[in-house]
Amino acid sequence: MKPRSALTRRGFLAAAGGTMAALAAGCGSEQYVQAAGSVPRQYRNRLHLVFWHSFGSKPGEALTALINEFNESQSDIYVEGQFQGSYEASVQKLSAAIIAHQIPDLVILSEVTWRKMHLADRLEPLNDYFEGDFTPDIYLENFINEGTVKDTVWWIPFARSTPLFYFNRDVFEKAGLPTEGPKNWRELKEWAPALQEHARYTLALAGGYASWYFQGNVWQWGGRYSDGLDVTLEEEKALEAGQWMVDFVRKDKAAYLSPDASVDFMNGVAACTMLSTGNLAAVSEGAKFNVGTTFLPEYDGFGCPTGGSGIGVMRDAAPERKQAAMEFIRWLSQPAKSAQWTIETGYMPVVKAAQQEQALVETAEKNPNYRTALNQLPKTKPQDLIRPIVPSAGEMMDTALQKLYSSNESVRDVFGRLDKQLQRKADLIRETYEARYL
Amino acid sequence: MSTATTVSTSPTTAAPAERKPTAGHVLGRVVLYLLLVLVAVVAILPVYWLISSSVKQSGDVHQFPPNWFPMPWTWELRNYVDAWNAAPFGRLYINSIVFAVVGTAGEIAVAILSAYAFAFLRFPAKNVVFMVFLGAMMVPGTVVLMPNYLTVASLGWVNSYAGLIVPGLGSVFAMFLLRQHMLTLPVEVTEAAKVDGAGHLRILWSVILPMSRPMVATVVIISLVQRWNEFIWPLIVTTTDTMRTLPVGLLMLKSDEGYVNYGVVMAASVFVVVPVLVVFFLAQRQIIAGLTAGATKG
Amino acid sequence: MTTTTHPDAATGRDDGGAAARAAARRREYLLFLAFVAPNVLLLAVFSYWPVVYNGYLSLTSWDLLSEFKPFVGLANYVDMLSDPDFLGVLLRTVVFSGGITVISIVGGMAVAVLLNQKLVGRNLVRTTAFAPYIVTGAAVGTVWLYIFHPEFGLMKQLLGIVGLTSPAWMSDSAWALPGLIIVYVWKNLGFVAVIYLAGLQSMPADLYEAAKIDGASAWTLFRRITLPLLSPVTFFVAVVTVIGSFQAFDIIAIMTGGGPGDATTTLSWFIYQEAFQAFDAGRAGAAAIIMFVILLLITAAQTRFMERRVHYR
Repeated sequence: MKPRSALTRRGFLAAAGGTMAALAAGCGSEQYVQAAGSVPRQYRNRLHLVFWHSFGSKPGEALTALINEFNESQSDIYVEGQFQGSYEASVQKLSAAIIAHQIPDLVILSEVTWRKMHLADRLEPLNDYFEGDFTPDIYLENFINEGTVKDTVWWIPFARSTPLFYFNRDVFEKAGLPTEGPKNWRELKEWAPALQEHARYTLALAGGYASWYFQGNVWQWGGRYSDGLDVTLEEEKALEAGQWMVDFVRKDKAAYLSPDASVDFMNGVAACTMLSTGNLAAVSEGAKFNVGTTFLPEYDGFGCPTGGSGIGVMRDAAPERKQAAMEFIRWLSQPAKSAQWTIETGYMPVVKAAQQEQALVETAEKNPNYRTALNQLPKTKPQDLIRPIVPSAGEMMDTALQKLYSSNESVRDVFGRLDKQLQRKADLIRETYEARYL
Repeated sequence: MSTATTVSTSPTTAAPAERKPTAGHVLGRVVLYLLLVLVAVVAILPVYWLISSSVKQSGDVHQFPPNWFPMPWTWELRNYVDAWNAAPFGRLYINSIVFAVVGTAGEIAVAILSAYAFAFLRFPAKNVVFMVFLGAMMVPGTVVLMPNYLTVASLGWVNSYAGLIVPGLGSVFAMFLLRQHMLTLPVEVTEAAKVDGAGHLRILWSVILPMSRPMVATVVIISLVQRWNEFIWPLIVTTTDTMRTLPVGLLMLKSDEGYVNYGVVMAASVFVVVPVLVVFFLAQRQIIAGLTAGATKG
Repeated sequence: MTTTTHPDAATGRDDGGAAARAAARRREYLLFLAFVAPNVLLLAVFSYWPVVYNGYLSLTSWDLLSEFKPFVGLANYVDMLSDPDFLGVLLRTVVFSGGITVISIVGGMAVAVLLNQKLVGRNLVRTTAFAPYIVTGAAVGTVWLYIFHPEFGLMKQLLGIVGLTSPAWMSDSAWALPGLIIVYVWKNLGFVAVIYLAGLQSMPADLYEAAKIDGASAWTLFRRITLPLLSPVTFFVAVVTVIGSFQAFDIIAIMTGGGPGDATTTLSWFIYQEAFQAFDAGRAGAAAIIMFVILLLITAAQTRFMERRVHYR
């Protein structure tokens, strides 16, 4: 007993002293080191890249396959992919890592989280890394422009998506309804009673990312979430959009807040739902019926946001690793690889030339649903600024919509409170925003 | 409550044998047995559900009315294979075992030393010091996450066994139970040892510990179980699958944009839950005895 | 806490040297410090330092990423304590914690009384009732989400047997919190019952005999003798359950993530949310300090209350 207790006591005194010293040294002056990782023996003599991503299950397998392919195709770089959970969980980990000065080299960042990192000046500006035929032009304009601020590229598209309207073709057929799906919400409302003879609900509403899906609705009614940093949720059109959906839930009892919209849809609980294109591969495989997809329904017009994620390179990583990271991104951005990623997951092909890849063309032939997202793409636009740029705006908006879908509170009250909360937070970052963007 | 009416016939008192069971008495017994069964069923039902879902095919997991008794010939044992492959479960098991065993050993050693000190050594305002220790129990779990992460990072322990284990070594509950127990040991034993010239460490090692075996066993088991099940700290401090523990691996299976195969998730849950349940059922008398001794001797 | 078996008296050797005894006592004090040092250090660094650090952060407005931490004094506290949403979080936490504690105590005591009857198989049931305490939170959350599923869940089936429709539980603002209370009670009731059972089994038989001779009814016996004799156990259970339920986090994280809306956002979840989602270290720190203070006050109040009511033998 004696030796051990003395040892632990000494050890902990040392640790405590070290801790105090380290914390006292302050954050600003310390070096950044690479986040922990491991390298298999055969890759030990290569440059080691740590790549944090948010893809598990099917997309995760597809990404791992791509990473392995890259590692085997050359002998200078070893990329180690590390799954960190959802987009939000990943950025939490990343923030903690930054504070601790132990960071990955490149990271998957969603259309929301990349702005946070950009505002905090943690991303590497990428313009100087493009050369030869590796230029920003190889990407679809919509996508690369979203990651460009003041003519500098900060964020490279990778797993971009849009919402799609998914519907159960078999149920529509049985109900005697057109099997291309509804063109607008008024139609869907009319068809609801017929649909609900074959499915419990007409529309499953997802709780997670509810505000991403609802972005489409707000635009379809002619409203917006915000004009730059000025929140516009209390304007009539936005309120009407909210009221319509709330009525669809409470009065028509046709829509409902689902614990897991994709599961409910695949099990026939709901005849329709809105999901990301990134779910396409999994849903097509898991559903036991004919899955149909179509554009988001219109109302007074069309509206559909973009979403998904891209890759950012950490500004504080070592220079040679940043360079290597861009090599890897260049490899990923080959048309064939971009097409491969699309086929395996359902995310959009971000590289223009990928759409002509034979494999993708064939897949789109066999499963026309792949083409829906592509055809809808030209009509989409990036989300109203308030959601991506204000910290935790997405969660606050999701919370408000969940409340509306699952309780009896009034749209005016909920949107009114949300408007004020968002505006207050937006005003807090206005200065930083103007400095970085204008 | 019907149970209250039969308290007087309960054998906490040395009641004479009942002569002739009345109809009311029989009814009372039946009701009691029904309640007993109900309690057991409610407790075990979710666990049963977990296990029975783990052998269902993915499409059948979501089905109404639910399938209570999946027949053996429909069992989808592939779920277990898929679950095992979905995350590096072999590695996760090892990490969980190391975390649980080493962490527990460390915590109990620390707890024993502290408990002995409070029970047998003098110190001014000892009770105040004890209260200060107990105060640590009230520190909210979510509060320590970020500061401890910073501390661990500055020591270079992120994503390592040290980072996993060391922050949880401080012991309050185990120390409390051990001290309660040591206070009940007869003082003559320590007196005798002191007369023989033994120092406190020797007394602890040769006298007190052997007499505290049941309580030590209890806190060891409680500590092991708690570490096996812990997930929020391992989630924060680990970044690669090579260091993650079972509950974190389980959580990773669920958190996703894509489709989740619930049969597989349930199978993975079984990996995490069953070993502990087995250990528990084998050692249950131990655990329960120790816990209750600590609580009732308040 | 009684220390009747350890009077802590000096060993009483008659060597006539007060100085020698003082030296011995000092050595004992040092030894005490040495023995508790590892624990003290660990708790200081990993339990108490976080509280201090959070206290410091609560006076700033730090977004976790910038190098600079602007000082804002008590602004975070003022903002939060005058914000109806935060007060709602506090209220919700009290309801949540109170619900779990009360139901666990009443239910636990009832089950303990049941298990105290001489029934065949009661030990097996006792073990089974304790088992939920052992199951990992991640698995508990997963399977109960499933049980509560409004379309495919067990609840729907069981309620259907009695002719009721199942609410949407975790997707319903009104039912999510009660649903979580059910899960936490399920997990903890057996633990409480087992502790009460031990208390019941150490009841003195003679008291009962005397009361029965006086013609007391079963209910009176329970109320006048059993309950008061169980009060130390009740105190222990109440303290542990209140603290535990205030800190409850893992099952909330898996089952509802604080939602739908903020229907299950308890103080513990709120702290996590502010720190790791909103990246507002100041507010998270302030909430953490508020929680710590509340727990201290509650425990102190419980101790004072129970000290008057608890009957030790």
